[in-house]
Amino acid sequence: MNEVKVKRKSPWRLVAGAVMALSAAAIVGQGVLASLNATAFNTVAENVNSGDLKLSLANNGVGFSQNINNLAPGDVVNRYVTLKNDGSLDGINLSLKTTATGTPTLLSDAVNGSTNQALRLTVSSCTVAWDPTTGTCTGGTITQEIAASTLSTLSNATNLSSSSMSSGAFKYLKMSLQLPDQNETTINGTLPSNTVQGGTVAITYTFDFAQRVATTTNS
Amino acid sequence: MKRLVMVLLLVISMQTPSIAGGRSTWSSSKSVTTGNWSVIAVGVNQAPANAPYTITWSVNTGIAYNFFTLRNNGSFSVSGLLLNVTQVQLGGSGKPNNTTFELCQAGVWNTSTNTCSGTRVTIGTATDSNSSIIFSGLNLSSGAELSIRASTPPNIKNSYTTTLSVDVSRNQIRPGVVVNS
Repeated sequence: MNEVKVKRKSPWRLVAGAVMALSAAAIVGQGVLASLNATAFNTVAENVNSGDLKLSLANNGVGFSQNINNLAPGDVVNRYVTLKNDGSLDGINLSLKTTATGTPTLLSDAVNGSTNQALRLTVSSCTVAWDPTTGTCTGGTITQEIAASTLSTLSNATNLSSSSMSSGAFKYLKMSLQLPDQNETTINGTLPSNTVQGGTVAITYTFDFAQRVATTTNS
Repeated sequence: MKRLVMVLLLVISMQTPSIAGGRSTWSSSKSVTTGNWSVIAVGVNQAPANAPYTITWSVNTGIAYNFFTLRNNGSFSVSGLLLNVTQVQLGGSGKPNNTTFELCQAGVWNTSTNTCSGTRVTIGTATDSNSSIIFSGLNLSSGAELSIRASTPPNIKNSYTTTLSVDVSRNQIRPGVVVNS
């Protein structure tokens, strides 16, 4: 019995042949099928700049450069700082958050149930720079930005009452820290329980604002 | 070098503006401390302690003396204090003697010569088992002391204790002040 061998052509040979045929047609056809194109463009490149948001803080007088020591009940220490929107974008929702650690009785009234024991911070602004030695706002208008609040309360960011700052704007702030007046008696050198005496608190003040609301402009 | 880098990083992190996600923040850290008011009675040659001061008397004849100081152990000047005196008879059915307290103003009692280098001022006498002596008009600065002599009446034989407890209240330091700086 004779064996018949059928020799099959490789499919790759067919594909290669097709590609070669198409390439040849494209090269030949270019000279024959050229089309017209037109292009327009701006001769001067359009520049697109993104704005920036910068909040800076400067001490006015001592400001935040020095610690506060040996407070007595009833003492009020006013420190002055100036915020500036140093960015090109307007800012909104200016807020203050304090991160405070240390003697619990100075952080929160809840320690001994008193309603007026812990340190309190009040923030006020003046439309012109404060005089840090006299605490006066000569020729300006004073606004209470944040009412007297304990440091534990201010651990949540709290918006200032006038919380917008346009680009380049200043905000002149008085940071007023008070230890409320209160009675304590020390007997034989032993401080009372839950005392405010001999306490220490480390406070970090964080000011924060956000960029203005994004806009759509047609022009 | 590592330490220097760590310190620098710490300083930078203490006071830095930052910008992230359309927000800008500025942080600054400072500490606040409160003072304290405290006066303790300290016997001569005794170590200061936050505890009452007890004198044990054993009088046979003459006048017995005891010397101590009232030391401002706090951070504020003190304008006054309350000295609570408790006297307890040691044995027998009698009662404690009267005890007189004398301040050596602007000076110190010399325990050897029993003399005051300043002006001797009688500040009070404990006549009962419980008495209180009020000091006022003081200007006792932090760390300063008042030199006191306690004495018994002459020639009353008796044994008893006198315990002194010192109270200082908030209104015996300066009032609150407003500081702008």
